[in-house]
Amino acid sequence: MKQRMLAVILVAAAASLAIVPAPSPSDDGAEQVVPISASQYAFDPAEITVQAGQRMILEISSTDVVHGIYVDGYELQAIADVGRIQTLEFKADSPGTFTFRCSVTCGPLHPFMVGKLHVVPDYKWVRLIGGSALAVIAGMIWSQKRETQANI
Amino acid sequence: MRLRRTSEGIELSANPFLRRLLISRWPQWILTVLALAGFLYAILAGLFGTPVGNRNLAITAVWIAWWAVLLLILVPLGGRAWCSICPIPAAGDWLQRGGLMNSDGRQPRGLGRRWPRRLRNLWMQNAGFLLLGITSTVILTTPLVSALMLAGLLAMALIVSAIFERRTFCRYLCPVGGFIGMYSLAAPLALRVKDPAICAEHASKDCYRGSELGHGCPWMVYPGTLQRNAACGLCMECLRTCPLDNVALVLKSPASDLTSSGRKPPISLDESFKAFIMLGAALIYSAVLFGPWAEWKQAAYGIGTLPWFGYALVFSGLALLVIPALYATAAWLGRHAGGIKSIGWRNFLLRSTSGLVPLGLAAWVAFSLSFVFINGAYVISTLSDPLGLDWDLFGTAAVSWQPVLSGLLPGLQMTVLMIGLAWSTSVTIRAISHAVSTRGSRLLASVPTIGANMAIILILGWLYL
Repeated sequence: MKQRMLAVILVAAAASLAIVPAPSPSDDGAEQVVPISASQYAFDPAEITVQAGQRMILEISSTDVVHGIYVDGYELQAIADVGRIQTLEFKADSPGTFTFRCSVTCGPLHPFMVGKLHVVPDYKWVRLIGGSALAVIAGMIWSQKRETQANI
Repeated sequence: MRLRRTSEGIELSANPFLRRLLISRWPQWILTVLALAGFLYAILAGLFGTPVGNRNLAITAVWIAWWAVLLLILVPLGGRAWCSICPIPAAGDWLQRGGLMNSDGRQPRGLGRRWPRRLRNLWMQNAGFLLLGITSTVILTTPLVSALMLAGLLAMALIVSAIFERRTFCRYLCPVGGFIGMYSLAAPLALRVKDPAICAEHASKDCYRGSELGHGCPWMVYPGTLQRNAACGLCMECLRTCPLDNVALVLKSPASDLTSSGRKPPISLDESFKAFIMLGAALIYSAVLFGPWAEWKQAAYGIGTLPWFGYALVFSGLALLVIPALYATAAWLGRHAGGIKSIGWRNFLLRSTSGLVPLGLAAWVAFSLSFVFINGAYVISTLSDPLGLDWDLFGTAAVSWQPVLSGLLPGLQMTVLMIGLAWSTSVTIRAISHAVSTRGSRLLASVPTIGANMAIILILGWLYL
C-alpha cells in the first residue's frame, strides 16, 4: 500500500512539475509590438517569443481570406479582415508556451492553422526532464509493488 | 450489485442483471444499428454536404466525436468494446447469419473460406494504417474523401464476410481494429473462462463451433485458452453459447496481459511494429497538425505532390525505421547491460517494447484531447446543420466556435503523458522480469528502453507544452 501511495504521489508530482507555471517576473513596463500576417494556413511569424511581464500588442492582418486569432490560455480573440490591421493588447504575465490559432473557418486546414507564443523564461526543459524523471521513478516503484504482489 | 472475485479479477457477469443484459442480443443489436445509422448518415453528409470540413457532420461526428469517445473512453477502459457494436462488419455478420437477429449459429452462410495462414497477423493492418496515416490530413479535413473512405470500409467488410469465414475483416484487415486490439492489452475489461480445465474436458466446444444459442466465436478465438484481449471482440457470443456457465466478463488489472509470465514474449513482432507505427503517427500528427510549421501541413495535404512524398517518406521512415531502430538498440544495450543469456535478443526486444502499449495509448489520449477541447464546438453546430446547408434542426447551428478550457489543455496532456511514462516503465520492468532473476540486472536491462520511452515523452512534451 505504501509503494502504491508513493508511486501515485510521484506521478502527481511529475505532472505538477511539468505543468505548474514558472514564477512570473514583475511588470517592468516594457512593451512589444508584433505584426502578424495571416494567410492560409500559417501565421507569420509562426512563433513569437516575449519576456514574461511585458505588454504585448499583436497587429494582425490577413493577406488572402478573413482569418481570426485566438490565444489559448489568455483566451483572447480578434478577427483579421483582408487589408485591415486589427490589434490585440494584453500583458504576457503567464510564462509558458501558448498556442494561437485561427478562429474563423478559412479552408480545409483551418483547424490546424496555429502558431506558438513563448512567454519566457518558462524553464520548460527543466520541468519536462524533472517531471519525466519522477514519472520513471514512480513506474519503478510501482513495478516493485506488483512484483511483491505476484510473489505473495 | 453482486460481483464475484476470481483469479482473473472481478467477475462482472456474476451480477444477474448485467449477465442478462450481456446475454440478450437486443442491447448490442440496438447499439449496432444506431451506430450503423450514424455511420450511413455521416457518409451521406460527406457525399452531399458542404466541402468545408468543420461544417460537415462526416468530419465532426467521425473524427472529433467518435474518435474522442474511442480514444479517451472506450479503448483505455473497455479495450475492444467498440468492436462489439461496430457498424462496419454488421452487414457482413447479418449476411453470414442469414438474418438480422438470427441467433442459431450452427449453419453459417457465405463461402466461409479460411484466411491464408501467412496473413493471419497484423501486417496487413499495419500497412493499411500506414497508408491511412500518410493520407490522413486529407481524410480528416475533406468530407467527400472521408465519406468515400468510410463507404469503402463498409463495402470491403461486406465482401470479405461473403468470401471468408466469420470476422476475418476485423481480425486481419480493419486498420482501426488493429490498433484497438493492441491497446486493448492495456485495458481492464476482458472476457475469460472461469476454469480452463472445464473447457478442456468439454468436447462439443460450442463457444467455438456455435450452437442453437449463438454463433461460434466470430473472432476465431477459442475462449478456453484465451489469455489476452487483443483478438477478443467482446461480442459475448461465448457467454451466450457456453452451456457450462464457464465464461465471464471480468474487470482485471490493467495491462496484466502485457506482463504475464512464461517464455513467450507478451507481444508479437507484428504487434510491436503496430506499436512503433502508432507511436510514430502520434509524434508526426502532434508536430504537423498542432505545430506551427505550415510547410509540413501543406506537404501532408498535397497528396501526390513532391512535398507530400517527402512527408510520406518521413512518416514511414520514422515509424518503420527510426523508432524500431531506437528500441532495437535500446534492447541490445539492455540485454548486454543486464547480462541476459536466458532469452534471445528478439525475445528481449519484444518484452521490453511491451511498455510501448501504455506509452502509445497515453500519447494518443494526449493527442486526442486537443481535438475534443479545441474543436468539440464544431460537433454541436453540425448536429443541427449536418450538411452545412444552413439548417437548424436542434437550434444549435449558430453555436460559434469556442475552445473549451484551452488554457488547461497542455496541463491535461502532460498529466496523461506522465501517467503513460510511469505506466510504461512499470510494464517494461515487469515484462522483462521473467527473463532476469535479480533486481539489479533487471533495472540495468530496462534502463535503455525506459530512456527511449522518456525521450519520446520529452519530444511530445516539447510539442505540447
